[in-house]
Amino acid sequence: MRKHKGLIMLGLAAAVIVIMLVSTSVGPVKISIMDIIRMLLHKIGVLHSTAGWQPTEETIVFQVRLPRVLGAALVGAALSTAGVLFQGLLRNPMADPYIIGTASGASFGATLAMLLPLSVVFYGFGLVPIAAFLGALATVLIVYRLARFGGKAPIVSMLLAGFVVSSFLVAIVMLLLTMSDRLGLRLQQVFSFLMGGISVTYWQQIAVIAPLVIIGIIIAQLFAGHLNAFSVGEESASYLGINVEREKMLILGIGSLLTACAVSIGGLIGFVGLIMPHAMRLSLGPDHRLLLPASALAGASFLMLADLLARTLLSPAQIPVGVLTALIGAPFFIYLLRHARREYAF
Amino acid sequence: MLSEPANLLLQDAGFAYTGGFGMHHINLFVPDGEMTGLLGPNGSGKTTLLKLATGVLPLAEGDICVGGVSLRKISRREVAQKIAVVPQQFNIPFAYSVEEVVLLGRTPFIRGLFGEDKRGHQMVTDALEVTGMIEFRNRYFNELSGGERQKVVLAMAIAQEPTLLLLDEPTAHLDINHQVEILELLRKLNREQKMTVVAAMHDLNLSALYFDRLVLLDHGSIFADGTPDTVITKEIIRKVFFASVDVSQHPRSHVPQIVMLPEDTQPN
Amino acid sequence: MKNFWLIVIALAMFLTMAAGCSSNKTAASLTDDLGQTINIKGTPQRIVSLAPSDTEILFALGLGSKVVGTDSDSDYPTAATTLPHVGSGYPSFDIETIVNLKPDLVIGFGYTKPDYVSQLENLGIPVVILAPKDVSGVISDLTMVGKITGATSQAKTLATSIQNSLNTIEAKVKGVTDPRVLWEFDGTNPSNPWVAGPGSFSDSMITLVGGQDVGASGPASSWQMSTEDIIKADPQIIILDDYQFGVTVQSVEQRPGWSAITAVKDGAIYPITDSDLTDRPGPRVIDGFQILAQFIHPELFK
Repeated sequence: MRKHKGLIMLGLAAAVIVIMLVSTSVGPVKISIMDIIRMLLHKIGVLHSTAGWQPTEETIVFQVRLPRVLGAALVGAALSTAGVLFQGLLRNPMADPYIIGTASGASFGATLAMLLPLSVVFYGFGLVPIAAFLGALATVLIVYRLARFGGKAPIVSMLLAGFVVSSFLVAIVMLLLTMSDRLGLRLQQVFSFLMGGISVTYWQQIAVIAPLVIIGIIIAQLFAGHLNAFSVGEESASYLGINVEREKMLILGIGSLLTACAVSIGGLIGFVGLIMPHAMRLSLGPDHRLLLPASALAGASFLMLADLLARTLLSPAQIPVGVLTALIGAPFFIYLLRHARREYAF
Repeated sequence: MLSEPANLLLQDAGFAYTGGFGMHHINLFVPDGEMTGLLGPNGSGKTTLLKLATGVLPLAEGDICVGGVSLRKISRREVAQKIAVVPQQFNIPFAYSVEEVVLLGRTPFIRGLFGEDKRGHQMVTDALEVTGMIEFRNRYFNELSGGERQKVVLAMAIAQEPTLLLLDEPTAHLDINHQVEILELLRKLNREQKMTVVAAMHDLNLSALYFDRLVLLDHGSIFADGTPDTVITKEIIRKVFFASVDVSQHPRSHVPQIVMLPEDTQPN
Repeated sequence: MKNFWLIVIALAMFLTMAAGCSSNKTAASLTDDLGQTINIKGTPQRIVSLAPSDTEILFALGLGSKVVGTDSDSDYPTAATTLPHVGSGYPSFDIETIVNLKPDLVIGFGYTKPDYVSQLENLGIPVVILAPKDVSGVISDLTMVGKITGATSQAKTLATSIQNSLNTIEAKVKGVTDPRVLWEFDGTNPSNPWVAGPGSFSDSMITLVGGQDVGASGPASSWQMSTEDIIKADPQIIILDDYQFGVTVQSVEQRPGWSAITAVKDGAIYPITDSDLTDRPGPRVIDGFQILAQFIHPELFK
């Protein structure tokens, strides 16, 4: 399976485009893929022929579906990349983007936001996603400071601090839920956010998140060679000329930023950040120079697919995306594992 | 690059772990092309000295220079282009191939996203050949035996093109044949490629056989420094290791070899 | 083998008799909205209410003097606000405070936790749960409460009055086309707002007042409907039940894609400013109906 790396990468890139078109085409209002392509070409001024589609269809595609599909792609790419970063840095195959506290920080932020009677809109983001974003980042910062001692932040300390801070924050969230009427009445909203669901309403949100995610992925790629070196241990990485503490901080920062971006659009979607890196490692090997872009592409496709199913399977009811990522992802991963058992020398 | 001078100088070096062990006023000069062994009981400072020499532990006092350049003045990357380290334990949780691991040795030479390392591939092949691991290049590192892994790690260090090679107990945990293999390799690198080698060793006899000079550490200071003849003596071993041994001569190479004296062989 | 069948028959007979016995209802023994049988001896003199709607019902039936405690959200009528509080509807009450008031009847609501109910009943305090799904449920509830508390004539008067007002409304909208209505509970996530679904009280109100709830095709009484589904359903009237959370008519109009919806084009977005009237299944619900009727059929109601 490792042999056709070039082909696999090409396939992944093609899959993103295909799935994006299919996702944009499917929904309560049927719009054909050809129409969508024409709409896109018309929009960018390439195609000039008169529109053969309804204006409402154009509204739906550009104002409702496309932002959501792009949001799903960004979330998938961000979470997968973050997963690769954390697994490589922490040398821990069980690491996922939420491991050092981003999840509990986001929940905490979101819960606080739902308590406040403020109605804030910032580039299309309401108070809840903003608070989730900030909560995620703030928590990582706290965990890092707690683990840092004598100029170094050992991995084990970070994992422990992450666990402790997470437990604490989760406890506070529970406390808030028990104490507040107002919050209690909006319990459904809290859970809806936490269980994960792509919620992109405005293009501005994409305009803010997309550059952050793309830059984050590019910077991650710059660290690819060094991440390979980290795999053999922090000390050995240092012997190979890497400024370990500084790069650790940077990589953690990028990983946390990507996770925070994902959470601000999709809530806490699990499974993707943990499994996509493994799936790509099984197909392409552990070299981060390939692993990073492959995981980003695969994650984008996977999440667009999951979101598509989430909103069509039980239409008009919407299944939380996190449920679907686990339902599709688990059997797919078992299949991969069985076919590559010998290769997966963990 | 190997054409550069490769000596190691510790000048009044000092360091202390918080709340405990410390080393102070360490003066040591290893000239170009020498093969030096660091000896001493556990906790005497062998590993600490190595870590100080590579910059992993920050010097609190004094200075360390490699090839006349102070380590304080250059970046970690530049340090890695001069010094390569073969650590005692090497554990990779992912399925890298032997070739991929050795390639990691080129990390100090690759810059950024599109960094070019033209000689990289060749260096990796050379390193694999020198260590006799060329046939293993596509095998998975995690599937190899202890001795084979140690050779790969050594190849990785060699691929770094160091002028100074530091090893932390390279023969620990290995079978006798592999121990000898590694030491022969080191000797070859030292004699043929003029690489300066400094290794922390725990086996006194092997140290005497393969190293020109031995530095014995005790409680963080240098207790003895010289040829194996002068360092491996009955009195010194007793004072530093608290062990009663007999010292005899190796039948062929005439270096000192210790002979262990269990209780029932000792005179009353 | 023969023994086995004998035992089965004996068991079946025993169970039938047991069931038959329990269906004997005493005068004040009925079932509440959760299907539990209520056994109340005598006329309750000390009543605790666990929901604002229950409080309003009790006071409307003239039982205000018998109410010894309410939940902290009960704010109508004014007389109720001075009564001791026993906690709040969600998530929990203080059992000890309730017991301290020595009630002989507790009236709960649909979201009162079963644990509390069984705890109170174990302490010998009967609990009646009111969970009306629509306005006829409200009417039968207050009739039942009237029966239990001996306020049957007040209950009858109130029930008749509510029923009459309802009949008037229903008569007016009969034969008129029902516009499509969207009832939004929560717009925190503007692309997937929470809307009234089948089985919700709001849904029943919409139907009664002569409208079609576009959320009726959903899976639950409160569920998230995607913008796309809303556009497809194309409601002609949007009712905002989240006004108190900061959602304004303007913010709804500006939601991407919503400009295609008829209600937005016609400017038929109505915030509910006094949600106590429309959200509380109590005697004032009839006022809520009036408000809704004005939104949905402005041409028939002024």
